[in-house]
Amino acid sequence: MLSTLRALWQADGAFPSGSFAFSYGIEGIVALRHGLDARELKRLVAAALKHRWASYDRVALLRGFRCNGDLAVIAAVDREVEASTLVESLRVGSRRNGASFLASHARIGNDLAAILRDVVRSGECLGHIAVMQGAVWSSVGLDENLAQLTSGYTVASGLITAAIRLGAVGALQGQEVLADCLPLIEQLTMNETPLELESFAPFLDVAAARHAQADLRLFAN
Amino acid sequence: MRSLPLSSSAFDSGRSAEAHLAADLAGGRTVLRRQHVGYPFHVTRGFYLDAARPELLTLYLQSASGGLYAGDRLKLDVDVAANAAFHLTTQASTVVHDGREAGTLQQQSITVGPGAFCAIASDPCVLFPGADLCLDTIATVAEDAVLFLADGFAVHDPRQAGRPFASFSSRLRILRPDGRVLLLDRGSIRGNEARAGSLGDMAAAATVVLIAPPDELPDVGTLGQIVDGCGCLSGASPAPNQAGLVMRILAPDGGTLARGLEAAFHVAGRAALGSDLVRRRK
Repeated sequence: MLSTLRALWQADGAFPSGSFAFSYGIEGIVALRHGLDARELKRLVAAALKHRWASYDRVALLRGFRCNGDLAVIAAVDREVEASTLVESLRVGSRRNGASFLASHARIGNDLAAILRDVVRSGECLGHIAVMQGAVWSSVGLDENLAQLTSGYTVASGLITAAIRLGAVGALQGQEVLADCLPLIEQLTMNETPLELESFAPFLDVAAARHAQADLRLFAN
Repeated sequence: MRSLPLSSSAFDSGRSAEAHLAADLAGGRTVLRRQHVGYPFHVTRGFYLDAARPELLTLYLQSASGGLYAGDRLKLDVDVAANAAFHLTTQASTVVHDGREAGTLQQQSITVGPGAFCAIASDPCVLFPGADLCLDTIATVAEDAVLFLADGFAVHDPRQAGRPFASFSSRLRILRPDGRVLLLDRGSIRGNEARAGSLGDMAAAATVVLIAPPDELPDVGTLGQIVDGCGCLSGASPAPNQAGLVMRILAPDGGTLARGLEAAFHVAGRAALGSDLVRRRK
C-alpha cells in the first residue's frame, strides 16, 4: 500500500518537479492547427503515449530504474537519451525537468538524488528526466510497474494540463481525455520493453521544433 | 559536363545484393576509385554538374528491377575519402512492394573522410499496400566533414482500398571516427497507425540530417522557410552533441516531399560548399 501511496505522491501535479512549464510540444500543435478540440487532443495524447512514451521514455525510465544507483550506467543511458532526442527544445526541456526533479528530491532528503544532482552539475551526467525518474523512484519504494504507471500518467496529464492552460480545451474536457487514456497507459506498460530507445512521432517533433522558433511562447517547450 | 564510364551490373541469384562505392579526390576532381554494384542496384555514369565546384561528383543510384520486393536484403557502402565531394541521389522515388511477411531491408554504411562533402539524398520511398521496409544506416563522419542524409517515405494505396503499408522502420547511427556517438534515431510505425497522430494529417514523412562544422551550416529558420515554401511542414533544430542540424518534414504526398528534400539539399549544399548547386535533373 505504501508503494502505491508513493506513486500517487510522485504523480501529483503539486510535486515540484518543474514539469508545469513544459508542454511536450503541444503548444506548437495548437498553433499549427489553429486550435484543438477534445477528440483531436485525445488522438494526440494517444499518439504521444504509443509512439514516444511507450517505446522511448518508458524504456529510458526502466533502464534508469535497473541501474541500482550505478552512476556510470546511469550516465551511459543519459548520453543515449541525449543523442537520440533530435529536437533541441525537447532535449533541453528534458534536462531542465530532470534537474528540477533531482533538486526537489535532494532537498527533501533523498541521498541518491543529491548525488545525481552533483554529478549532473559536474557534467558527468546530463540529467534527462526519464532516466532520473527511474533512478530515484527505484530508491523511494516504487516497483517497476508503479514507476511505469506514474511516468505514463505524468506524461498524459502534463500534455492535457498544457492544453487546458492554452485554452485549447476546457478543464472537464481535459479530465475526460485523461480518463480515456488510463487504460491505454496500463496496456502499454504491459508491452514487452524494446531493447533500444525508439520513437516515431514526426508530427510532435515538427511541432516542437517550430514552437522553439516561435516569437511568443507560454511554455518552455 | 564530363562523365565517367558506365558502371557494370552483375546479376545475383536471389535478392540479396551489395553495392560498394569509393570516391576519392584525384587531379582536382572526385572520381570513383572503386565500385562494385550488384543487381538490382545500378549507378549511372558520374556527372560534374557544378561549374563553381568542379570537384563535386554526382551519381544517380537506380533500382533495375522496378523497386524493392519481399525478401530483398540490399546493402550500400559509400566511402568518401579526404577532401572529396560526392553526391549520390536517385532519379525518382523507389516503390516498395508488399513485404509478404518477409519484409525488405536496406542497409547503408557511409564513411566521410576529413574535409569531405557527402550527400546521400534519395527521393522518398513509396510504400505500397503491405510494404514492410526497414532502413538501417550507420555513418562515420570526420570532425570537419559534411554529411547530408535524407530518408523518407510516402504512403500510397493505388486502389484506394484502405489497405496501408505493413510497417516502416528506420535505424540511424552517426559516429565520429573514434567511435563517439553523435546522433541516434530509431523508430518504427505500422501502416494502420501512421495517420492516427504520428504524421498529423499528412501522407509522407522524411528526416534530414546535416552533420557539419558550425560555419558550414545554414540558418535553421531559412532552411525551414525554404522547405515549407515547397508545400511541406517542417521542423528544424540543432542536432545533439553539436553535430549539425536535423529536420523532420511532413508533406501531403510524395511529390511535395521530394521537392522539399531537394530544396533542403540545395540549402545545405550552398552553406557547405559556398556556392549554389545546379538543379539535378530527375
